[in-house]
Amino acid sequence: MNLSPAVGWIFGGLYAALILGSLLGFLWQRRSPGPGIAQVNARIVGWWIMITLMGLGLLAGPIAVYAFFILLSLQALREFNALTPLTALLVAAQYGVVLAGLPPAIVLPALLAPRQRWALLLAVAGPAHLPALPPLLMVFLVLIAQASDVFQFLCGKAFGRHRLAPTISPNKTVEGLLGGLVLSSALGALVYWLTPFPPPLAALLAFTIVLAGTAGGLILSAMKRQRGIKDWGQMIQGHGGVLDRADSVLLSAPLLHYLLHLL
Amino acid sequence: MIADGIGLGARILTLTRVRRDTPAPAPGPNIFFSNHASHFDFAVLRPGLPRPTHPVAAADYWAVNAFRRFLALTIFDAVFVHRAVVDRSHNPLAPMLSALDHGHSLLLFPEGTRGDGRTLQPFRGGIYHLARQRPNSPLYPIRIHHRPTGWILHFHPPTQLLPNEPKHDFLLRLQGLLQ
Repeated sequence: MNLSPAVGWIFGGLYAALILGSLLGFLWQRRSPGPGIAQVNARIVGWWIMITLMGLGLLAGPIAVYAFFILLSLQALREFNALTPLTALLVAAQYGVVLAGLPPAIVLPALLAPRQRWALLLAVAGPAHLPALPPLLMVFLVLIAQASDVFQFLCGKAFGRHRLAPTISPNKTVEGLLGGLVLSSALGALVYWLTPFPPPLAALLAFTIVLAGTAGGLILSAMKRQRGIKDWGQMIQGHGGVLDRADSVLLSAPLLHYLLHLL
Repeated sequence: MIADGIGLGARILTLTRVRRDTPAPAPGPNIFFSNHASHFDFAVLRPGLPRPTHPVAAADYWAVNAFRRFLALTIFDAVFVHRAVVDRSHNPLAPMLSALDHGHSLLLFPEGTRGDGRTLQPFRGGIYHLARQRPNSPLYPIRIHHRPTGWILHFHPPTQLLPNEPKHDFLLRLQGLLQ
């Protein structure tokens, strides 16, 4: 894949943030050990793995990127299937529809299979829309969605008072969401050069990505709550399953895809 | 009023700057034409054009549902061009000619569709027929640079259809003005 120096800068910045985060986490753990900081440190280890995987995928070219998202899609399906058995025929049909064209792929699940709607939409249509974006915008989407998770986590810990949806997701707070929206929009404006748009428009895109990502997270949390489980799986250390980490990306990918056509 | 608000919002979102290489155009009738890469194109141009100026919108895109029709006609005061039906009884130019005859100006995107923002697509022939039938309306080229560091609206000096200029040469010359 023909990548500009922009990606080098992004990954440089990400690794710098990871080194800093790991160092701070290590020092905190030494001074006052506890389960909270242990969980944060486990998450940081998970981010090392994920960022390295994505970087390698981008370096290796489009086929590796497609392979990465096909594997992500299959693993997401496995996690959904463990919860509610999926119909093989419907899954196969959804893959077929994705190959035929992206727009019907988001309409079909809603019409055909109300019970398996989210599985088909998030595990098949979501990953399909990601590599369809220009490579730099794909990096932008993943960066903003993941950074928003971090920002919401940190802002929630720092200022969290009011729960956003106590019955669905006890850890999400209104303050965390607001902080995440503000900081992620600022980050979006800062890395506007990944998009074809000027900074204010890039910030607006980031804002939309965070809103859709939070909605995606809440939908998946509600499904988990309904079955009485905490994580979708144990793919990455400290992060639960693929669905626990990619929830915010999976719903915003189609949205960003169609938003681009609108602008 | 609403359109001005949208125009202002779009200019802020895209950090639009204006460069004028021509004195402000007469009230009308003028024919403005521009390259096209975004739905924001008309919105950011609107505050820089004399009133009234009607954008020329393709009916096969902007008239297909009530929302788009409302946006085009009520908010942005557009004139529709019906590209699908062209025969002796349906002259697609008629609404544009009538607007010009009322002293109103027009804004055309002669590429006929949105491009990728870098390369200019070949111009459609409509602007030639318009220029031939209303030779006294000056043609103002406006180049929109869709740059991530902020858009630039570049107003160029007006031009006209030259005597006996063939259609193909005229269209190529106009394209050259936007490159």
